[in-house]
Amino acid sequence: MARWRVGRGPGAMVLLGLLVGGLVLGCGDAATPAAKDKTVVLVTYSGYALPTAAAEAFTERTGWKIKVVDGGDAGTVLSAAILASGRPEGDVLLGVDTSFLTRAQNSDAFERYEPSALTRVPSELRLDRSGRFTPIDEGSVCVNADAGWFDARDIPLPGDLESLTAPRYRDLLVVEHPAQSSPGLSFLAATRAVFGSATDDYWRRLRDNGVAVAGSWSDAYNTRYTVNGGDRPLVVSYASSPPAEVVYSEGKRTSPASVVLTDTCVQQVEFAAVLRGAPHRDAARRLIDEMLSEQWQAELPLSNFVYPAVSGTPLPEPFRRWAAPVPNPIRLDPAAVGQDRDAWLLAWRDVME
Amino acid sequence: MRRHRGLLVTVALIVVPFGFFFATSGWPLIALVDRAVTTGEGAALGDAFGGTRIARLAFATLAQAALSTLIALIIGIPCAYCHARFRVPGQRLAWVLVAVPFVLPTVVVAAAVGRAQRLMGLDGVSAWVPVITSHVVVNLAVIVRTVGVRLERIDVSVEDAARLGGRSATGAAWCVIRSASDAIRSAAIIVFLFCATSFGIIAVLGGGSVSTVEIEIWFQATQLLRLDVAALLSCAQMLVVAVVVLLTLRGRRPNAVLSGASPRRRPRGLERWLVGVLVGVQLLVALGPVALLVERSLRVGDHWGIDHYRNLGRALAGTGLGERPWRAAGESLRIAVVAAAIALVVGLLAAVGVASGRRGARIVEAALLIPLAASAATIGFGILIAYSRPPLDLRGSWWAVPVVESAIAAPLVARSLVPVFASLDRRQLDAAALLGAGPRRRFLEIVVPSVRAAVGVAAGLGFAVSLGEFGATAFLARSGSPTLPQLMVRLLGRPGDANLGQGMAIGVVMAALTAGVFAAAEAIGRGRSLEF
Repeated sequence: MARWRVGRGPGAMVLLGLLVGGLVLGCGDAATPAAKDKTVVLVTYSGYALPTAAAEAFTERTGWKIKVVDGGDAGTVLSAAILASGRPEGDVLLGVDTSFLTRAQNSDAFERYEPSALTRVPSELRLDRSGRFTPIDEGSVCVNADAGWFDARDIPLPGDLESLTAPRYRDLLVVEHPAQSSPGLSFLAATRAVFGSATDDYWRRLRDNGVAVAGSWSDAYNTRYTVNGGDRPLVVSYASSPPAEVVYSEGKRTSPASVVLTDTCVQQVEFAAVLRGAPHRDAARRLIDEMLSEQWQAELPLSNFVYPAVSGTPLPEPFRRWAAPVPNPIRLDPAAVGQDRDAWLLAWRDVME
Repeated sequence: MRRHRGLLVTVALIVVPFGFFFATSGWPLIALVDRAVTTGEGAALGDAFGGTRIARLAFATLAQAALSTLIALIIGIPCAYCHARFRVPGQRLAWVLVAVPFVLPTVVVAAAVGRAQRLMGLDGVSAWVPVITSHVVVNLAVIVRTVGVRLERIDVSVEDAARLGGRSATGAAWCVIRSASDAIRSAAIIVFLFCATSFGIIAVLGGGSVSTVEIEIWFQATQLLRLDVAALLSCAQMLVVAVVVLLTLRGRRPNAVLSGASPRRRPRGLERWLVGVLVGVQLLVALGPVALLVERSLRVGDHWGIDHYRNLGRALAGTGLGERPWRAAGESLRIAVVAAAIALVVGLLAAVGVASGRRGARIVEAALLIPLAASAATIGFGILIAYSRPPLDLRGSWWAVPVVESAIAAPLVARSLVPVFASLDRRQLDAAALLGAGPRRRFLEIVVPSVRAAVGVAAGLGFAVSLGEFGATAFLARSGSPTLPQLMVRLLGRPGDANLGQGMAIGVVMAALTAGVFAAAEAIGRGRSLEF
């Protein structure tokens, strides 16, 4: 039977294997596994650390496990959620910050939900009037300085934003690209809040004073910053970076290497919201309730190096010792950031590129 | 009855492939243009950039593509000449291996070139250097193979005549190369297009400091949510690419004295050195990237070990991975196999349809050109825009990624099969019919044996392209279930040895899978793929 020759030879085998394989795999369980067990999905940014003890307590009490999906940079997470509006990848999104609040509010990717514990959050953090975005924590983006570096050279630390343009701080500062990194955008927004229409001129002076631009916070802080072996003793980072240096040093550091220039700090509030079309809406609401619970709030400082949103939450020891209080942070108006962000980025590009 | 059967065949060979290409490329592109026109109001582009930036982006895109192509030609043409004229040890191997970087996922090649740059202490140089190097490494095979096959068919008499006319050996070689100018030109166009629309390589190596139109489309759409600007950029890019293709296709003429294969000879004297160097370059280009990845993936801190591979079995703290990489690998493989199967079916039907020359064949042939003019990011973005509301909402569907991967792979599969079906020996088929063989018997005994090998190669190519696809998938894959290339890029973007090592280990796994499948297919197909 000559016709059976078709089935012989490696070419036909590859072909057949591929077709059968494709058919079998494609028709297999294409259904999402999420439907099977009680798992609520939390979509958030890279580097977010679930407060483990609080999360376990939540699972024990409610029977819902929490799965964390890492969506990349905070801006990327929100963009992806808006592009997927109505068909979300998870149930809750955490990581909308002040700079992106307006973009989130203007989309139809989120549902209304206000937990009862919201009343215990100070009013200056409750920036959303639409009833969708619950403030969970807050932190500040500030210029950090390598104290030892300045000590060794007997150079005084810079004070405010203006002083960073002084000739003695030439080639010392590294910032993040505002279109690619959320602390970068916060810092640009801070300069807008302080300098207003003179901001372009300020950045021109920063540029002429040799400011370096990094693609991401990790590039700036872990690679360019002198504390971590780089060449720049001034970096745009967080108010909580000094305690983080100690906690993450695995015992090698007993006190921080960095000091925070508190006059450069700009406040960022971080919000969580239920995604529209969430497969587990009730569990999503319970998770947001949980995020404002005492245990969750108390665990936030050491898990994510942010300050709890609920007033009166006790701070852990490293925070009390090394996180400089920021008495008067630069406060952003979310509406202004939302409305003018594109124009700011454009102007910034024109100055810097 | 006969009429019905004819209709059925037309549906299978013309309507099905055309429908697939229209649904996965045509309609998404229409949706993009619509988006750009209705919401863009023309001024959006100017608003979002300022004219200087768009001009600079366009210039950078075209200039890097031109430079990459030029370098690939300068290295590739002499290599092709050696393959056509000389017989040396290792040459056969070089011919097979030079295609490996082309089928490796682009992000894998980029990671390897980045590693080479670091090892050579060239961290400070412009990011364009590794980008262009990667483009040359990936595309060298297109030049070598397309031009090599062509040179092989140019009769040695051309050289002999040139020598008799008083030219030196180099001058005679130049005459031969010049007479292959049409093959050189079409290879150069392909390479230019691949480089102009390259995404994965620049995403890995550009580090945010270099940008092209392709990267900007992705950035505007997914990072800034300026869908109107992204759509306008896509349209502008398609227009520019279409103009370039039309300009270069114009005035194309067949040239040269063709014959069957010409005899190869052993190189003499100085030639030996030149040929040796060229074979060496090809082996380096082929094996260097994989070797660098393997080296880095086995380095654990300051000693050697397989820890990074063992770590693929678990989700390491600090890597930000919710699940074990092996799981992602399994899922990614499954998607690639499904995508390759779709691409193979559609590609086969399209190739037979085009080769049959029946009514509608030209339309299918034209549809095959779409993915050359529209980049991967454009197609991915277009699919996202076109199928994001009822009745067909692909977002979050399991099928989104296999469909988008097969949309990229199917035209390549079809293009590699068209010449095979077109060159089926009609006389043999007619003779068989005359001798009383029915259509089924003719198909099984004449058609199948002569295309089997090429179909195997096409299947391998389809699988490699699907597994390594990065630019289009970037718009549709979900962050919770990344494909292997996405997982690798994500790991490489984080600080720390564990991330880098795990990323490199994933790169090695992908390289082994794609190169392995492709090499098996190549062995069956006797190294005749990648001719454009």
